[in-house]
Amino acid sequence: MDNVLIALSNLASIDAVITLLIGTLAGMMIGMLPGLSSTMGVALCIPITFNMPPELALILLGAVYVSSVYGGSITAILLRTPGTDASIATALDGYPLASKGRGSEAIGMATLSSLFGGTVSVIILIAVAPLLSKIALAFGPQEYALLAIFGLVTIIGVVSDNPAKGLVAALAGLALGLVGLDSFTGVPRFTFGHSELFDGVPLLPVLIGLFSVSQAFNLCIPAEAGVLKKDSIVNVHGHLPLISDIKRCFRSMARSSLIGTFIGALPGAGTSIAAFISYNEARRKSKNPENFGKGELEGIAASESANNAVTGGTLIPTLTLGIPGNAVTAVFVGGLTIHGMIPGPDLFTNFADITYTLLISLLIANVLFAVMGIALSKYLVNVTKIPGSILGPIILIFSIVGTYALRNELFDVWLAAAFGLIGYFMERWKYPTAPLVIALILGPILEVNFRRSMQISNWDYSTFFDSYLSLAIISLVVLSVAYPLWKAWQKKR
Amino acid sequence: MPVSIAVLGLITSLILIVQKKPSVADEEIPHPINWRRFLLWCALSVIAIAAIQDIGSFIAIPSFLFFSFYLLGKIEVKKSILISLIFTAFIYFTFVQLLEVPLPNGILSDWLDI
Repeated sequence: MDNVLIALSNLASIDAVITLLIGTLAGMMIGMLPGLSSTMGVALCIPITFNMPPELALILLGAVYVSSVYGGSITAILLRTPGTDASIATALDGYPLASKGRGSEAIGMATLSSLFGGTVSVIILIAVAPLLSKIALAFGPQEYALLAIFGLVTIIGVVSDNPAKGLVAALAGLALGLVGLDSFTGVPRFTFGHSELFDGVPLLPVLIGLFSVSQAFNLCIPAEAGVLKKDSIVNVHGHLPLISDIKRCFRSMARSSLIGTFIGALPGAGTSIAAFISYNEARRKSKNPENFGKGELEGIAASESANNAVTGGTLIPTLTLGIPGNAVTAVFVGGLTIHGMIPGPDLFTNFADITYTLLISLLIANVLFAVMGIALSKYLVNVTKIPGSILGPIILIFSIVGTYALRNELFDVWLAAAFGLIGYFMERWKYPTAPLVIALILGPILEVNFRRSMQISNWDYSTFFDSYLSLAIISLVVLSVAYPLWKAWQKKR
Repeated sequence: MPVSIAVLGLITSLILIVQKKPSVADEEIPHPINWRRFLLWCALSVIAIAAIQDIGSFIAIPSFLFFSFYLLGKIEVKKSILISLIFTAFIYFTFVQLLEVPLPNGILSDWLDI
C-alpha cells in the first residue's frame, strides 16, 4: 500500500503530468501513421529517457506504448489503413461504419473499449501478475503450435463468407512465412539470393501493402471515389455511440479484455491474434452475427478492448519474469535496464515504488487517450469527406515513407507496392486479405514450435495430447471448426 | 511444412472450382476497373518509388502528388501544387526532423545538409 501512495505522489508532480501528456499525444500520432509501430515509437523514446529520472522515463515509455495501440484504431476506422496488425480486426467493422458517415461513433466505441480493455488488463497486472505469468510459462512448444493452429482456424472462419477463399489466403500467408533462413538449420529457403529476405518476408511492408496501398488504389482508381458513400451524411446519428449500444457491447468488452490480457501474457502470441479471437467470440455469441463485417459496433468493441488489453498482458511476463512477450516489451526491457532496473521479481520488491508508478501511470494514460480521442473524434471524422483522388495519393506516400522508415530499405517499399496490387485484386475477387497477414505472423510460430516439440518427443505425435492445456486448446480448435459446420448443416435442414 | 501447404492448397483450389457458381452472383459487383486510370497511376507510383533513391524523396514526393492530383483528381494546377507542397513539408518535419528517419535526399543532399 505504501508503494501505491509513493507512486501516486510521484505522479502528482508537474513533470510527471507533462510527460504523460506528451507521451500520450506522441503515442496516438505514432499509432495513426502507417508504418510507425508501437515498437518503433517506444524505441524512439528510449534515447530521450537517458537523462530522465527512472520514474519519468517509465511513464513516458508506458504512455507511448498504450496510446500507440489505441491510435492505430483511428486510421483503421476512418481510412481502413491500420497502422499496425493490432487494428486489422477493427477495420473490418470500423470502415463500413465510417463510409456510412458514422466514423465518429465508431471511434467513440473504439475509444471506450480501448479504455476498458487497457484498464482491466492493468488491474489484472497489478493484482495477479505473478500467478498469470506462471500459467504462461506452462505453455510449452506443443501448446504454442496448437495455439497457432487455433489462431489460424479462427481467422479463416472470421473474415470470409467463403471459408475456402479464406483458406487460400491463409495458405498463401503460410507459404510466405516459409521464406527466410531456416531457424533450425540456417539454410536459406525461397530467398532467391535476396539478402533482404533472410529474416523472412518482413511483416509490416506486407501489412501496409495489403491494407494501405490497396486502399489508396481503391480511393484513386474509380473517378469519383471517396470514403463516404454517396448518400451518407457525417454524424447523422450524433457523434458518440448511444448508451444502449455501449450496454449491448459490454459483455463483449469484458470477455475480450480477459482474452486479450491472457493472450498478451503468453510470450510471442501477439496482439492481432487476441483481437481476432475476441472478434470471433463476439460474433459467435452475438444475436446478429450476419452484421459483423458490415459495420457492427460490437465488432469494434471486441477487437479494440482485446488489443488494448494485450498491452497490460504483455507487461505481465516482462515485469515479473523478465521475459518480454513481443518486440515492444523487449525494447521496454532495454529501457528498464538503462535505468538500472533488472526486470524480474526485484521490480516488485526493491523497485516497487517505481514499478507501481509505471502501473498507475498506465491507468492514467488510458484515461488520457480516451478523453483526447473522444474530444477529437468529432473533427477527425471529417477526413472521410475528402475526395478519394486527394486521399489516395497521400495514403500512398505515407505508406511508402512509412515502409522505408522501417529498415531504410527500398526493397521493402517495392514489396509493399507489390502487395498493394495483390491486395487490390484479392479484394475485387473477394479473397479476404486478413488471413494472409495473420498466417504470415503465425506460420513461423507454428513451424518452429511444431518442429521443437517433434524434436523433444522424438517424433512422437502423442506429445500433443499429453497435457491438459494442449487438450483444452485442441478441443477449442475442434469446436471452432465443427460449430460453424454444424450450424450450416442445421440451416440447410 | 511446404509439402503440407501445397497439398492443402490443391484441395482448396479443387473445392473452389467445384463450388464456383453461387457465391459471386448475389454479391454487389465492384466497379469495373478504369484501366486507363489504373495503368496511369501504377506508372506514376513506380516512377515515384524509383525516383526516391536516385533523384531524392523531396523531389519525388511533391511531383508524384502533383501529377496524381492534377491528372487523376482533375484538381486545378495552383491547388494541386499547394496541397503537394504542404504535405511534403509535413512529411519532412515529422519524419526527417522529428523522428530522424534518413529519407534519401538524392540530388538535394547538399542543400538539405544531412
